[in-house]
Amino acid sequence: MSEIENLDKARDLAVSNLDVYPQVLRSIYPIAANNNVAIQRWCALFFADSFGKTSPLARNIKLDVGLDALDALAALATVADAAIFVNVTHTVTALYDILFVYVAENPNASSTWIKLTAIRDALLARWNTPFPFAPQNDELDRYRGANAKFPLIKLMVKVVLLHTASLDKPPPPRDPRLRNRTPPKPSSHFGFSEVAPNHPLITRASEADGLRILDLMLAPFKQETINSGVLTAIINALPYLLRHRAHLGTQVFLVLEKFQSYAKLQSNYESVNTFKLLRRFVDRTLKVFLNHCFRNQLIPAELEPKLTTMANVLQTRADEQRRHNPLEAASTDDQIRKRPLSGFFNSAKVAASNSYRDMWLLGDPKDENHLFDVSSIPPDTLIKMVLIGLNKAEPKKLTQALEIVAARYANAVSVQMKTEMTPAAESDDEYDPEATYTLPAPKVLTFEQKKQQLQVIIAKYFETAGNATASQKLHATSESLNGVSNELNKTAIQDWSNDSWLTILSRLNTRGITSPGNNDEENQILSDMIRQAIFDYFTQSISTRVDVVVQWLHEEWYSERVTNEAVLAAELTSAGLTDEQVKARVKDADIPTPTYVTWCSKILDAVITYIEPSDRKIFIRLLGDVPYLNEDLVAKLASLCLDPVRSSIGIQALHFLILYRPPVKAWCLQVLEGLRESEDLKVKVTEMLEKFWPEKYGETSGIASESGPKVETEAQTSLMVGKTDFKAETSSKAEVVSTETQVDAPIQVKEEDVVMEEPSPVFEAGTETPEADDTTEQN
Amino acid sequence: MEAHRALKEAGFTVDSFGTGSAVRLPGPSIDKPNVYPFGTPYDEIYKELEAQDPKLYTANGILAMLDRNRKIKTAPQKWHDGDIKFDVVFTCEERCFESVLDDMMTRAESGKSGKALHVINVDIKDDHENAVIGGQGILELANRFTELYEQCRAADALMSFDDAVMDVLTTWQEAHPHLPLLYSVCFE
Repeated sequence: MSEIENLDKARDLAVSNLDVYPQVLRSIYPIAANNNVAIQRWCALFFADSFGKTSPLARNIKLDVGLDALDALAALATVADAAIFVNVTHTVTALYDILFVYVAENPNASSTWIKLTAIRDALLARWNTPFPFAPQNDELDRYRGANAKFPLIKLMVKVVLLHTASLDKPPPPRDPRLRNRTPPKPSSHFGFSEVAPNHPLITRASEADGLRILDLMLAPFKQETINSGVLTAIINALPYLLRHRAHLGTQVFLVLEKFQSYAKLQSNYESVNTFKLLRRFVDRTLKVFLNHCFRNQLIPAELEPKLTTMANVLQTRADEQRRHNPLEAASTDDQIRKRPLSGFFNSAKVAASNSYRDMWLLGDPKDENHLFDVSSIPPDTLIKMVLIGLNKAEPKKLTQALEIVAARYANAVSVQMKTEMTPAAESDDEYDPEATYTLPAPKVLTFEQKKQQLQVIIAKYFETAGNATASQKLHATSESLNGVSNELNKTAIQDWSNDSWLTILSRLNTRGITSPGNNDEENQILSDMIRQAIFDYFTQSISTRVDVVVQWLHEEWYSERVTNEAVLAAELTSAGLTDEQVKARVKDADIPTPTYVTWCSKILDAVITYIEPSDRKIFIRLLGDVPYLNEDLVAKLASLCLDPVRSSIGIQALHFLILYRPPVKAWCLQVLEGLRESEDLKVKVTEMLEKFWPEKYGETSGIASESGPKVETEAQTSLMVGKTDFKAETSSKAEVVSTETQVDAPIQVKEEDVVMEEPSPVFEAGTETPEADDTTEQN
Repeated sequence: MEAHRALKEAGFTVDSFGTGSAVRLPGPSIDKPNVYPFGTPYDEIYKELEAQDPKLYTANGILAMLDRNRKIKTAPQKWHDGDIKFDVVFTCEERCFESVLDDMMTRAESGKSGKALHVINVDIKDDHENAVIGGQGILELANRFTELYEQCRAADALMSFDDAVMDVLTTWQEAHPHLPLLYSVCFE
């Protein structure tokens, strides 16, 4: 026979023989502390039956056994179960006055008093919570747990009644129909005023408790939303209290008088129709209540005028509503306002199911938008949407959202583990709860897949670059990003422009895919895909995209050089050199940058092929700004010079490089030398050679001719420029130019000033001391 | 009584009451109603009216109504005399609804159970056709409440029956715009 069946038998015995009832009750008290919820439910129900409305026991018996019930009730009062809570609350409500009177008469019953008030407070602590349900969201929680609140209202009325003075007797009902009826038994006339003034346990503080609990009970009327179930229940419980405690009328009616259903806000968790209905419901109950109170003289005189007005308003409203569809459109509908939603609509820490939708759903589950199948959107569009969304999200709110989702996953996992554990325990399986679950490693992408993915990434970058609006949006939101993003802004992207994406793309190429020791063939191919893409982008509009390509070439050259320096340093170190020696050797070494040279060469070829005479400035700037030029690259200018239409561009470019790029001066002079054979250029070229290579072509000194032009090491000077560049890489190009030229010449030269048909005074100033400047640059 | 019949046939435990001071039925003229105290058996009233004027009381449907009623229960009961032991109380007229609320305010006594009593008014025009429509509407509500009660008993329910009643009432009201609702929670 199960334990419940035994308990049933005991109860049947008690009910059939009231003499043994107290004995049976006492034998059941210890069982209530049992952790079995089914047994505790049984006990709570039995206690409610024993002490509540249907109790077969006399009051003195109830007191006798009730005194011993407190430990069992205390144990049950903390169980998070609706049925137990409701029955315990009924029991405590029924016992409260019996035990209150007992304590009033027995000033030394401190143990009883302490236990009773502790149970009372444990139960009342649930009033402002959605108990028996787990809290979700402050607003939603106001609409949950009415099943626990209804019995609490009765308990509160009982507590208020006992903790306040019974100063007045209820007046006889004015309604003649009611006079003939038996008046309610004065069972609760006992109150605070009947307790001895110097009672050590029931003190002034207890009276204050009563008034505080009354306030607590009336608090829902002050909320900005309406819960008609709870509000009507409170209203319906008030007449009994007011009949016995008319002096509390002021406190009660001051709250009710301020209650205006039409000034309340619609909750986010209810439809307009629900809101209209519950407003109607509360108004009607309030109307009946006010009429009841007027008829029974329960209205405090000072509030009578205001409450009369209120009753009239409610009566008029009821008359207007009579026989009308409560949901039909009304002129007052426009005034319905929704409460601003704080937090998330659905912030439940336990998901409705383990589907992705339910695990991540933070909005209204009834919202049909949530039924939309996002997998029907192309993944790339979806990614864009998600990124824009993430960018816009407030970090604090995003964190809250993720905490909710994380809690759902944690819960789902723990539930899963429990269900897995159960059969394991039965089959004595080797279940190890300590074992950690590891996600299976993702499948390694094949090279082909990598190429495809990279192609998609590249395409996205260019799409973004072409979409000014998207860029601007990103810019707008970047200001509100968190600290990490701000750091990124500082170092790489200060102002987000349409070209900023390229900084990222070129870094992906030079540092993301390629890294020291990871330059295998596949990665080279992937890197070249990005390079080709940037190159193609450049060639689509050479004249407008020089900045882009210069920036990329800097990235390319710097990263390649640093990588190869590191490789060299590693080789030297393994050969047994000291750190100092390694440093010195690396500094002096000619570090090759073949990839850079390859792509720079391609770019120059492209530019030289397509450049228009009008693009002169751009071309010269390109030559001035690329991080490094070698002999072969410079030699490409020859073909340009030989083109009859564009030869002036070539000559001017050489002129510029001779003046402002001393390390390549020698190679430029060699190119010029090679052009002497051209009939068209002969005069100009000779003139320049005489001026810039006086050692060979100068009228006075032909002696040094065999030694060739003086060649600076481009690598060293460029490295400096390169470093300067990287510090200031985000500055505008004009500033970078000025930095570079500043070391060349004492006077600042801006790009606009650099090339003139007729050399300007500024130009001249630079030409006078080129060699002295070279020294400066190397410092 | 039509609602009583509908609910009873659907298997609900149901009682019906009047909230007036006596049972009033139309008489030979508007100022001469037939008045009976609560508790007078329907069968007795039927026989008396049948003997009085069978033609009149057949024509105005009173005999048919009494015949239906005597098959449902013995005699009309008065709300104010009854012991309240229900989960839901339906009233069919605003006047009755207010009378029930007022009565519950009056009879509320300490020591009684704090069990919530859902009082719902479905406003029905007092003629036979509307009584049938209204009775079906009330039956629908009662069925929906039963379903809801079962749903909310589930261990993973996120709301109690008492919380979800408003949703049921809204949905029902949307489907029955001509049967205006009122609702209040009292205590047994």
